[in-house]
Amino acid sequence: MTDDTADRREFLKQVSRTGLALAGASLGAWWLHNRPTAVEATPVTLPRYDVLLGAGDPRLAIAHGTSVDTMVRAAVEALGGMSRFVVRGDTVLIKPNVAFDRPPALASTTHPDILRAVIRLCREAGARVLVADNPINSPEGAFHRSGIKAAAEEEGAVVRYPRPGMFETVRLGGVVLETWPVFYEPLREATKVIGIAPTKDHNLCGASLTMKNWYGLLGGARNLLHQKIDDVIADLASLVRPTLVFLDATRMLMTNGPTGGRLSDVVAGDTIVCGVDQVAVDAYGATRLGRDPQDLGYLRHAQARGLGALRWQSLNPRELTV
Amino acid sequence: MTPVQRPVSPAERRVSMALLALLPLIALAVYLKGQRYDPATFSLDPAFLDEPGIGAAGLLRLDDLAAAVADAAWQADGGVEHFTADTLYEKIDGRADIYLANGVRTLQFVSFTDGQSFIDIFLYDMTTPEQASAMLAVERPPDAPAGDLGGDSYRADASRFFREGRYYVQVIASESSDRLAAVGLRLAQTVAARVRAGSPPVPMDSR
Repeated sequence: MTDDTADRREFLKQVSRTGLALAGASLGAWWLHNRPTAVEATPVTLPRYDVLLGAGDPRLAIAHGTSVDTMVRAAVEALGGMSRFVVRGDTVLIKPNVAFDRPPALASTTHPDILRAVIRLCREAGARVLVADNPINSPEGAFHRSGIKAAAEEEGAVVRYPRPGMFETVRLGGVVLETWPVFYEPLREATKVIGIAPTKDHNLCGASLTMKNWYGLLGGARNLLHQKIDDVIADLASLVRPTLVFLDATRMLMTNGPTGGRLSDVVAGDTIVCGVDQVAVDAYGATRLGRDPQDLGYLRHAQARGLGALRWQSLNPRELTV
Repeated sequence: MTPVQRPVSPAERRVSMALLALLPLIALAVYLKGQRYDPATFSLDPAFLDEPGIGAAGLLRLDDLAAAVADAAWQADGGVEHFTADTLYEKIDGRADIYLANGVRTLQFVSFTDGQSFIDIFLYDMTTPEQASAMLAVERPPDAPAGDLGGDSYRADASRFFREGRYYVQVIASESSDRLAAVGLRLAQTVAARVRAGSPPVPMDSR
C-alpha cells in the first residue's frame, strides 16, 4: 500500500463520516421543521349554561319603550323573572360586545346602559357578576371608550381582561371549528352565561347579533375564519348554550357595520329583546335591520343544525310596550 | 524534517468542488423558503419605510396635529398606529375586507382626547385616487351634506370624511357637538395639507 492509497482511503473515510453527519443533521432538521414545540393539552369541553324550561314556558320577550332599565326588567319578567335563570351563589359571566374602541353613540359595541340593567338584575338575584370580552382593539382602550368598564364596575361587577394564559383550546365540534383557543378563564368561573349584543350590520355575514357576539370569546388568528363566517357563527351557537341572551335594539347600526363611524348610520329602535333561543332572537333582530332571516346564511345553518327557531314567531313571544 | 506537500488527487478535487457547490444551493433554498412567510408572524411597520416612493410613512405627525388643535387640553392618546393590508383586520376586523377589495395598502391611525371626548383619525392609503373615491362613496350616507374639505368630502355631525389624493381620511368624533366639530375640522385640514405636501408616488408594481 502506497502513502497515496492510505491518504486517499483516510480522506474518503473522513468525507463519508462528514457526509453521514450532514445527512443526519438535515434529516433531523427536516423532521423538526414546523413541528409543534409543546405538547398540546386535551381540549376542554364547555358545559351548557342554559336552564331547563317546561314546554309551556316563555322563551322570547320583546319590550318596546324608551327607558332601557324598564324595558330590560319588563322583558325578563315576561320570561319568569331573573330568579328563574340566576340563583343566589351563581357566578354570572356577562359577555357584551366590546369589539372596538368606539363610543357608545356609534352603536358598534354594547351600550353601557343595558349592561347596567342586566348586572343589577343578576345582583338582585344574589349572583356575583363577571364582565369579559376579547376585543379586536386594545382591551383597556375598548372597555374604556365603550363605557363598558365604568358601567360594569359602578354596578359592582368584575371586569376580566384577556391575558396570555387565560386561553384554552376548547372543543367546539363544529363544521369549521373542531377545536379553537377560547378566552376560557371567565367561562371556567361562571355557572351562568348571559350575552348582550348590539343590533348591527355586518359586511361579511349580513348582521352581527347575539350569535356573532360569541366571536369575542375566540382567541388565535380568528381573522382567518372570515372566509367561512356563516358556518363559524353557527359553530359558536353550538359552543355556547347561554342562560339568556339580550339584543339591544334601542339604537341600531344599519349600515357600514361592524365598525360604523357615523351617527347617521345609527337609527333608534326603542326595543330590547330577551330570550333563551339565540337563533330566534337573531331572526327577530334581522328583521329590525330590514333583512329577511332566511337571507342570513348563519341563521339557516344554525336552524339546520337544530340550534334554534328561525321562525321566531313560532315561540309565541311576549311582546309588550312599557 | 521538511514537511512534504501531498498532491491533491483529481478525485479529492472533484469531491471538494461538489461540497463547495452545495453552499450556494443551500443559500438559494433558504432564500426561496423565505419568500413564503406567514404574514401573521411579521408586522411590517411602514414607519420604518421613510423613503419617498416607497411608503406613506409619517403623514400623521403628532406635532403638526397638536399644533393644529392649539389647545393644551387635547393630547394624542398614544402614538400613531400603522397597519398594512395584512394586519388591517387588527384595527377594523371584518370591515377590512371591503377596504382590501378597494385596494387599501396601509392604514395610519391616531386619536386625540381631552380626557372626556376623543377624535380618531384614520388615514387609508387606497393606492389610487379613484379607489379612494370609491371607498369614500361606499361608506357615504346617501343624504350626507357636502363637506368643507373640497369636492370629495362630507360631514356626518361632528365627523368628517374626505379624499385627498389617493388617501381616504376619516376624522371621527366621539359625540356630536360644535366643540368637537371645530377641533375635528382643524385636524382634518392639517391632515389634508400634510397629505398634499408629503404624499410620495406609489411604486408601479403596487397599482
